[in-house]
Amino acid sequence: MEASGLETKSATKKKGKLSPLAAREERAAYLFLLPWILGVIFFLLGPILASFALSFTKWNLFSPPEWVGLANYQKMFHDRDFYNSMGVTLKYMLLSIPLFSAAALGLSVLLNQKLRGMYVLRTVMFMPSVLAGTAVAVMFSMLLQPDAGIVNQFLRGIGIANPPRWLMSEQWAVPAIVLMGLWGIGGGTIIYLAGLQNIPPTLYEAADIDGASAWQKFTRITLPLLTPTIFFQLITSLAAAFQIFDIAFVLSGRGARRGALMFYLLNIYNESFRESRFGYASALAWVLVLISAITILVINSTSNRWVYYEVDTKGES
Amino acid sequence: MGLPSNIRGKKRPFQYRISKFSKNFMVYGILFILCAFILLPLGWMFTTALRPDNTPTFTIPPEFFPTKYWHWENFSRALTNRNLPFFIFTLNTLKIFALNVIGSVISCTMCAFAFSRMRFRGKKMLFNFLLVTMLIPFAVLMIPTFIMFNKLGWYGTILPLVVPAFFGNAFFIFLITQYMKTIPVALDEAAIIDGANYFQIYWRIILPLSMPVVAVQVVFLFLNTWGDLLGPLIYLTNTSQFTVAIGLASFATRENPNNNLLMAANLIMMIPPLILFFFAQEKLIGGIASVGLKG
Amino acid sequence: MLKKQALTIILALLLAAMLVACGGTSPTATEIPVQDSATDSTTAEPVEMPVTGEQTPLTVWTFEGESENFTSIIEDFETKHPNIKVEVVDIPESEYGTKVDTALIAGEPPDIGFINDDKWIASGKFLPIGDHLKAEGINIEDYNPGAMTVNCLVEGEAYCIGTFTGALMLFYNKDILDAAGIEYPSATVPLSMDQYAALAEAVTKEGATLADSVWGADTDIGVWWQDRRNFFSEDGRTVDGYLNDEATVHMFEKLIEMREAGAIIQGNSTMAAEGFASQDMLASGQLATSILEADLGIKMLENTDIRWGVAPVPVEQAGDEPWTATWTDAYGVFSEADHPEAAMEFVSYMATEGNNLRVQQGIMPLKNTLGAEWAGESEGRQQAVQVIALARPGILVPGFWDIIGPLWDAYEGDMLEDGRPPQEVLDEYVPILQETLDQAWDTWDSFKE
Repeated sequence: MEASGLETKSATKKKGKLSPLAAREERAAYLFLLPWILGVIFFLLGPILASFALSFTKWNLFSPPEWVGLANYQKMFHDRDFYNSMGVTLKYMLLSIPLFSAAALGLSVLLNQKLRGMYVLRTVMFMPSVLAGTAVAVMFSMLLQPDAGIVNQFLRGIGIANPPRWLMSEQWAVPAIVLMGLWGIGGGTIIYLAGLQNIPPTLYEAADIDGASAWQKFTRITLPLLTPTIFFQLITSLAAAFQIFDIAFVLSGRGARRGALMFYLLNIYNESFRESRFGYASALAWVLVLISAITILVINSTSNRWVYYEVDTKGES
Repeated sequence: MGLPSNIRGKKRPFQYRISKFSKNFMVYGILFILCAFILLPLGWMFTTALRPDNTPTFTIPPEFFPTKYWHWENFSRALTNRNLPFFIFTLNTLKIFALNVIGSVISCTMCAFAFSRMRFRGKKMLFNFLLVTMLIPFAVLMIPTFIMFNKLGWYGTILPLVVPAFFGNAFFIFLITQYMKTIPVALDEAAIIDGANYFQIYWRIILPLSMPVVAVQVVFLFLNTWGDLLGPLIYLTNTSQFTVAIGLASFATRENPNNNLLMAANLIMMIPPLILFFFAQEKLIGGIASVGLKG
Repeated sequence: MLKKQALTIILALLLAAMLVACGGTSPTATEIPVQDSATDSTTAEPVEMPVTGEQTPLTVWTFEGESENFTSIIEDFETKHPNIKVEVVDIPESEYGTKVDTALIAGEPPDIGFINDDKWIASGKFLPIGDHLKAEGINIEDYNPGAMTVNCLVEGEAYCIGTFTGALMLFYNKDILDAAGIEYPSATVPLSMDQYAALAEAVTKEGATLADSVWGADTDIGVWWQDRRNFFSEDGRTVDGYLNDEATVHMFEKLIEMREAGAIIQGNSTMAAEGFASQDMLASGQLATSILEADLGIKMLENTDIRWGVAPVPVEQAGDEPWTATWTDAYGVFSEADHPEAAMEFVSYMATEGNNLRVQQGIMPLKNTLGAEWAGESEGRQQAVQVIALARPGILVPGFWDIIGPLWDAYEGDMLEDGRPPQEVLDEYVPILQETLDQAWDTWDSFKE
């Protein structure tokens, strides 16, 4: 409470006076934000600063950290795994984000139909997302086995003589992971489903009267009014793509193609928990934060141009 | 999506019924193909779960439906063969879940309300900061966070697993903010004219209208708590405090790859989230269409 | 009005805090005393057993607790030591290392732990047990030397001991070999890579459908199942001149030859991501040979009608000393254990009675002298005992899996996909692997400071 009060006062001095009504709104807003702000200060700031400080040290977890200056950051320039993991992560991002967004959107429109049995169908679609990543990975590594897996048996059946070697191939390992993600896409649709609920049915009724086609209704009503949800999905799937880990961790266990599945976070995990180089891992993490923050802030700054909000957000500082 | 063009302009009931029928038919058709795509691998899991020990799980051709083996006892073995108190594990998990729901729903909707519907200076900066906090990889924060909770004396308690929920979560705040931004502003304006304060607008108008997205949040919270392995594992020390995820996680050790028990355990793990999801749809589907503009 | 709002919010927060407090003070959650991380291990020893015949609680962390076999070993231990009560905490294997690491940071490890990471020994987190074992009349020499050096011996001192021997062997299907008129591999003299390739290629048969096909072998690269000395110097610090020497290059050439002949099915169980397992093909009679964990392979094959045998894994060249990779369930006593003496009792029990119980359970014991009893009448098992007897002490290579990891890319990508000669590719990878190896040693040495 006091913190918000102080902030208001100093801000007022700087920017001139707010109207009493606006000042009241501002104070109330900071009160609403108080839990999160306190949470950041108490639970996030400490660990963030600690990991930032650790990125300038050499630390094996058990002996005291040893200061090494910028050495960890310099090391990245000639670390093959670093470049490799950047490439793999980028490839995954470019493949998965458009594909997942489109698939989840399309599926949620289907699932939003008011039809008999839809409760069950929605639940079926949702099933894969409640499975543990490990089980999914185990299952898919069997389905995608190059010589005898069902997927390649099927592909040979329809006349493809040399189907991809999936997880064992440099080119196809990332697409294989994307395929697994596609299988579990039902989880992402529930966010779109919630978004769809907010579109007033009166809009569709009006469109029906004007004789609009279903496609027109989709592009002129559904899509624009879903942009806040699409924007959310875009940002969070970017964040998720930067941080994909579970499936890659299980699948790239000894034996599979190491390089082809070396996602950025897997590299961080290997450096820290397997190779006990916690300082270097922290440095890697901070480079990731920097890159992803720039990407997301750039996207966020364009959002006013294409995201439609009921609440007018233009002209806010 | 090609078909609807022939609906246009023709509103005679008979043709309308025909086109509606063919549209429904198509929707069902697509959904059934998708269901097959999803259910076949699950059928394979189920088949594997019913196999006896030490038999091949991988066969040519693959078996997507159980035909030969019906070892139903694998399901009960997955729950009992280690004398682990799964009933207590379930209670522990539900306790953590309940506290997370209370804390997270209150704190996140409050923050989202401010971000979506109020004007204040520093909003854009704070919101960007919120987005950036989502990007810090858990892997590097884990050890510093662990050291902090240990210093607070919270090691060995469930506090590290529930207290942070009361202080908001970037992902959920962002999710709910996006949702609240699409609720018509006319509602707040009318309320202000009626003399409501901000808390009343939040509590009486926006929160009830946000139930679909809160339902999504609760589903996700459940998935997170139910599936979280590392969190409970590093902070809890006694078997009596453990959660279901820990209890079921260790079926396939390298020495003992009991794929049948692993799959049975995973299928059991699926049931509670699915039940929750089945019923959460009530809240999820409907939303403003049924509550908002009429009420 | 604002005041009222603030009040409501504060009330909400208070309510929240109260709920948390309730959660925190529930009976299950608060029993663990919080300790400073710097507790001195040797003095912090609350010996509080006697008086009323109270039991000493002993906590064991492992990821084997789920098996009925392990449970019966614990029960037997408790019967023989009525003053000790063992609590087994079962930790999922994938997260085990993290759990132990964090507990060590908190300064609250259990009494006994499964050691699957040498760094804990190197940084002094486990007590040496050699003297204790000697005092109990246990001779370390009786236990499988391969498994002991891999898991428990660091610079000659023992830190742990186990109950079973895990081992990698070459399983073969006698029916398939008979049909092709091929002699069974010997249980004592390993095949050379040339012989291995010839055998695998001879039995491979591409049927009209996959279900009629037979594969000769299931290996990927031999770097993990052969003697590390083929690829590293004796001190474990150099790869140049070992990984890219003529014999290793020849091994890769042979592997490529086999792959191109379609004689190798991918998905070796020990290596592949736990998923597709070639042992399933072995048990369905479609795989002629498999490099496989002994216990797993035997259990699976004894469930079928297949006639099988085992041999040591192939060596690079004819005349090379045979090699069997082995390991064990390594239990040691944490330096910060609350009850180190009772814990030592437990470890020496594992070394003696634990091994006997493994024999009764049909699992290969760590103690070599019990091998014959374990094998019984089974010809296959008797061969397995012979193969295990070939195990020799290994060499220490810290971060071994991370160092050899890139070799899968070298093999699958550079050699097989791009068709480049192994010598050229290995020469190219040597400096990269050497750098990783140097870093791993650097970290290893830092644990000992």
